[in-house]
Amino acid sequence: MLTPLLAALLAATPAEQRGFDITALDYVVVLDPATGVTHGTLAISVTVVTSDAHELEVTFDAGLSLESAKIQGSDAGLTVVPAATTPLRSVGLMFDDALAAGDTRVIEVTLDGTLACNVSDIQGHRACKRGAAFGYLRRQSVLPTVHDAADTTSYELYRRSLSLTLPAEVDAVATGDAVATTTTDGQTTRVWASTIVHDVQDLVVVFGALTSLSIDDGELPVTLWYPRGDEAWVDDMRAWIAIAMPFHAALAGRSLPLDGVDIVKLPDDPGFAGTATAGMVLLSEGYGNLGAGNFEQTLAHELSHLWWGNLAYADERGAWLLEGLARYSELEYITARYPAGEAGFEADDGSLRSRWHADLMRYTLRSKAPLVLTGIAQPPSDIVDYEAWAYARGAATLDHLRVVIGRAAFAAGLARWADDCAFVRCTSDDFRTFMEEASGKDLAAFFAQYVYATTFTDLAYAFTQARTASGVDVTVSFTQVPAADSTLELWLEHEDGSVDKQLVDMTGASGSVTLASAAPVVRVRPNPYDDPIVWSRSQVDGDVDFDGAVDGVDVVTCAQYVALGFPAVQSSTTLLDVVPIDFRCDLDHDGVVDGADLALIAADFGTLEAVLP
Amino acid sequence: MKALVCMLLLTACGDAATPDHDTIDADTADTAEVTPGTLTFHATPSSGEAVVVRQASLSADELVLEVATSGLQADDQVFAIGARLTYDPDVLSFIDATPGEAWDGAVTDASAARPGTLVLAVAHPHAFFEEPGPPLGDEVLYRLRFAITRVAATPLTLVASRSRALVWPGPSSDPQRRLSISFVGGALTLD
Repeated sequence: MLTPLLAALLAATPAEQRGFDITALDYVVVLDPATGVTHGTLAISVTVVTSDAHELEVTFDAGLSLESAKIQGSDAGLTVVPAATTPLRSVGLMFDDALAAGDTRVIEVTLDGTLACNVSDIQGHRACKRGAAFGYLRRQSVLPTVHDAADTTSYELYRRSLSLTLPAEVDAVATGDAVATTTTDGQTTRVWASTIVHDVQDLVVVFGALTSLSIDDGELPVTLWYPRGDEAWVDDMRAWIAIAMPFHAALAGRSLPLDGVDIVKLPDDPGFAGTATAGMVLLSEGYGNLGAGNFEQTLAHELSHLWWGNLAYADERGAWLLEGLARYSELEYITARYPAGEAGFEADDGSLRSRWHADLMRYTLRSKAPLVLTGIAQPPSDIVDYEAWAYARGAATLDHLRVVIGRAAFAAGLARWADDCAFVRCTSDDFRTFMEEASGKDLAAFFAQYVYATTFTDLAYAFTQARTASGVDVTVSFTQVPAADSTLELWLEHEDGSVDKQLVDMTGASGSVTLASAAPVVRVRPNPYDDPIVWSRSQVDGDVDFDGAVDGVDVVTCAQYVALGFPAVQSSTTLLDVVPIDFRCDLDHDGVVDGADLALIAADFGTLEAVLP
Repeated sequence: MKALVCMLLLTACGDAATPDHDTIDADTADTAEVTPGTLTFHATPSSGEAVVVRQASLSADELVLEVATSGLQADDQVFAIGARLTYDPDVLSFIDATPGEAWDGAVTDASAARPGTLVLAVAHPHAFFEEPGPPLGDEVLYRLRFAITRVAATPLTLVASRSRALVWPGPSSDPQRRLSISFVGGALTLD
């Protein structure tokens, strides 16, 4: 039965549009790394998709000027409209003549000047760094980005190449397969090419005095690059990569269709902390400042982007199948690596990672933007909110989906996403189809509530028991606001500690469901992986462990957070600041578990569960 | 941080009663169920780290028990313990509970919300790293006083599935040492 809310959600379907299909970007660059003096050309190959095609926006370094813009080799046919000058320079290339669907064009822009390498966002990122010993170029340096002004998703899938000429003594590694190297008159020209790439991923060149070494991960040739003489973390990274690459391949159900992978250790520099590109991952050793565990976990995250972003990506406005999948993969990796919880995550039931996600959902996610944005909806602008939306909520939604359809079906669906969407246009609807076909379940309600809308319910339940000939009937009654279609995996805990897990659909504003149990139950609690998305609690105030009583176990459960002295979740300024309290212990809803919450439990202390007749 | 919350909550109800000396005097009672004999408390043997029940005193009309930690190392930090104790309400009637001296300033709670069921909790209300809990080793958590209302045997069971402890291994402990606290009760027997 559809609730009114769900019916309304199902009626809203994403509708996106674009004008051009960008089919190829070919860069040719000459650079003096020491001074930043550079000259570059970019050939943009496009096919017209709709009559909306009229303008391409090109963005590059503010120290460069646009020398020329030609279409089909001619100066006529394009009008250049300056759009911005700092911190990056941006111009619009307006097509003077109307274009028809199916038309193809090649636009060539030429840039000249000295790289300014300005800070380009509030996080202090830079698109380039000059230096003969170490430097880098990213997109929006002398490697412009190209945006179809009519494209509402900013999504493209194209062929890409880069020819870079540097002084012969300067090493370089770049995104893509290295296909040619020639040296003439003290200058070396290297060419890298990618047959097909998702536009979401950066194009990066690292140059300077570099050392490289090979890593055998049993999957692909992997090369680790680092600034010459800077051996810190190299042995650790080599060991982690050899473990993480096969792990991610197994999680995705397939290897990467690449000739090899380059991984670059970056110096600790806030201008460029790292990213993942087509066949290339870069990561700052600054992540080690918070410990080896943090470095390894972040590296696992970036490596997973070789699958989630490089291989498969969604043509829509959203990041849950990019950053959410990467966070999910990173947590799966770290949980498998440290099953006893040394890295801070518990392997047994995911409760710690789920508490962390749940706190982000409840306390920091001020934006109610759905995971896939439609219409005028915008992603959160605040950095913590954005990370909570893209990374945490994305991963938590995947965790909950895995509970709803089961681990085997989820793994099969994920493998379909990696296989069927490899270098083709896909969307969250395709992801849903794969999960439905793998599980045999209709996931319309799930996606309508949690992907295309933001539906966090306040679901309260209680249970009673009655003896039967074969055991016990456990009746769970619930209320939820707003009315929704929620699914929880309830864990029926018996006196001897054994647990019987049953998937329960809770539909509408209230209701009840009866579950058969072989023996009397002590607790009926939800799978922790459900917690971030379905905000459930006991109907008995102060009962945080779902046994129907307010007793010493509730006090101890919440006292651990008091003991750890966690600050209020709302005071977090970065994702790493958020500490994983159990939100059910925050009885006064102030974002912190303290003596005041223990006092509230004390107020109801001694409330006991119903006696089983 | 001790000033954050300092309270002592004792909620006694249900079977709390003033002992009736006429009915619990084994020598003078004339009901059929009362059999002349000697009541003795037997603690169930425990090993490893545990919360146990042990006798503090026993008279003809009153039993005083201690709920205590056992087997802990001297510098282990006990931060909170919640426990549930069950007994025969026809034999024992809960009078009151007093936290151990180490728990001065703690959040403490005891409630006999249902005859024969006593729920207990002690918890420090401040952050461990700001003010560590008492380095206990073996220490009394609660002193429980019961009136003996009938001279008969009864188990006194700490219900493991509804009891939990929060203990940090002391700083001198083996880092790999993991505490698994068991809850061990006892029995009042008629010998």
